[in-house]
Amino acid sequence: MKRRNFLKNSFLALASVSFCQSGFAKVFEQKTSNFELSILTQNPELAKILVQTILKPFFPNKVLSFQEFFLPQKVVGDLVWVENFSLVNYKNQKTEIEKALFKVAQKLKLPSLQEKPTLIKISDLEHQKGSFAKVTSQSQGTKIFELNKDFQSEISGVTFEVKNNKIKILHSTCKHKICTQPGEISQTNEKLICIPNCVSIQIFGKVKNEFDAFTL
Amino acid sequence: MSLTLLLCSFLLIFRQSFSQETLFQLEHEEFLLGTLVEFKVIHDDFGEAQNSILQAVSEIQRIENLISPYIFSSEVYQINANPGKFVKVSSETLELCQKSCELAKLTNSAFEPTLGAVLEKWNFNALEPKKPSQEILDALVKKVGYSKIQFKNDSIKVDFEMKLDFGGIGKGFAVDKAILILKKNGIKSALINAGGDIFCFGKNSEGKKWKIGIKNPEKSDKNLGTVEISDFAVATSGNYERNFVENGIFYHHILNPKTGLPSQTCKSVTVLAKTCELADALATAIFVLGAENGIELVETLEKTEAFVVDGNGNLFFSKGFKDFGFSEGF
Repeated sequence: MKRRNFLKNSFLALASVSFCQSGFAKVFEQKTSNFELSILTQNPELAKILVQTILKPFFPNKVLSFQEFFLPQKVVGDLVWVENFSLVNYKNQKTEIEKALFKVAQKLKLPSLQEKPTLIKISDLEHQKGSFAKVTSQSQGTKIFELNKDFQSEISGVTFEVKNNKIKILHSTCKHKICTQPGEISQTNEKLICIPNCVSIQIFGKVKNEFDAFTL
Repeated sequence: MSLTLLLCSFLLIFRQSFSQETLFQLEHEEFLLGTLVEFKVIHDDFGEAQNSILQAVSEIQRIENLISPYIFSSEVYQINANPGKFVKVSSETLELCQKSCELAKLTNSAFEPTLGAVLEKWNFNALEPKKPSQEILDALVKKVGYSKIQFKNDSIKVDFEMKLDFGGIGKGFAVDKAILILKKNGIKSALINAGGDIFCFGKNSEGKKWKIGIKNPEKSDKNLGTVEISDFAVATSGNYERNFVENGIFYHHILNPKTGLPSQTCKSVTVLAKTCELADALATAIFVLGAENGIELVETLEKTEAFVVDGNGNLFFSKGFKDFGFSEGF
């Protein structure tokens, strides 16, 4: 069960959505130039189907980031639509995208109290500014940090520092401290791993050099 | 003119049908095989991709439970615990053991699956590892040798004081098995990375070959280079994974099977091959053979390339290595 939850927590989906240039898609191309959609629901499977069927015409020729996070508590679920760094109230239904989001919310019966929901985040990777670190702990799930803000933090016995758009492990409670040896990382898909504490740190987002994986 | 028009319309249709396809890239990572295993699957069906990753994870777990010398119930543990007796094993363990023997023969025992007892004495996983005495190493090394493994139908027997350890090939073997599951499920593109032992097929999220960075072990913020591959494996062996310093001497986990001591010939070896198990085993073997002998061996093998950083930091490439989109540094 624990492994299953970890699996669920750490799924990261990037959807490459390409459509033919239909008039419908063209109309909304400019309006979805920079966005992030968050859906907090206890029915993530239905949410994914709705995203694919109702919302995908609004994302023509984009590379979308799909992220799923399992939340163990009881919270009020809803949709949050952020466009060009501004929160948009979809309930106004002024635009086509707001109407579509309202339809999704209705089908998911949101907003309402959700037991152990899943947070689905969909964002436009192409327009993301800066880069991020995804810190995944087998016991504490996944947390995302921006790399443009210097700070220190600790997760599952691993203390890490973000400084000058780079991240490094300062200290670990593990036996051999191998995870502290590689120093700082800053390239897409670069990783720092503490195997004994089951913690991984990965860079993603827009940075200078982009790799699919590293061999070492 | 009509031919040009025909060609243009064909390209247009192709482009349109291709661009209508919705692809999802799912990423997942899990601690398996004593390392972090990373899965990337690109597929048109989100659910199929998710299920395929789960199946690939299960397959690697299954293989690990068969071949890990540290898991009490594993077949390899049972073989090592019962020297002088034939132990019945699964087809996977038998296959891995037979392939390991073939590779040991090919590399003149630079790669050896029978180093388990020597590695156990070094105990690189201990809190404070210590170099075993030369007498102990000399005695144990005499027991090393793939030709001493005996096979009878589906059973394997090892000599007394000899132990199997598939650490130099096991990760690659497990990755290959997991890739088979993904391909069988009809997955279009995928990459599995088990701590630097990588196999990938299809294309990445940009529709290009997978771009793999080769890390520089001495400068964490720099790469030795980049390769671009598809339906190919890449694996790297380095002296920086498990090591310790005793009396000012640096000891690491890649041992020369003939001496039982860490091989000092190389700093890093990267191998490209058609299977991950071959890339994994050859990277270890070349580390022991040294740059020149290792490259010489690789040149005799089809669809296999190598890139070696020797003990002095000099770079050596097999003839075809740079054909894999290799670019140095950054």
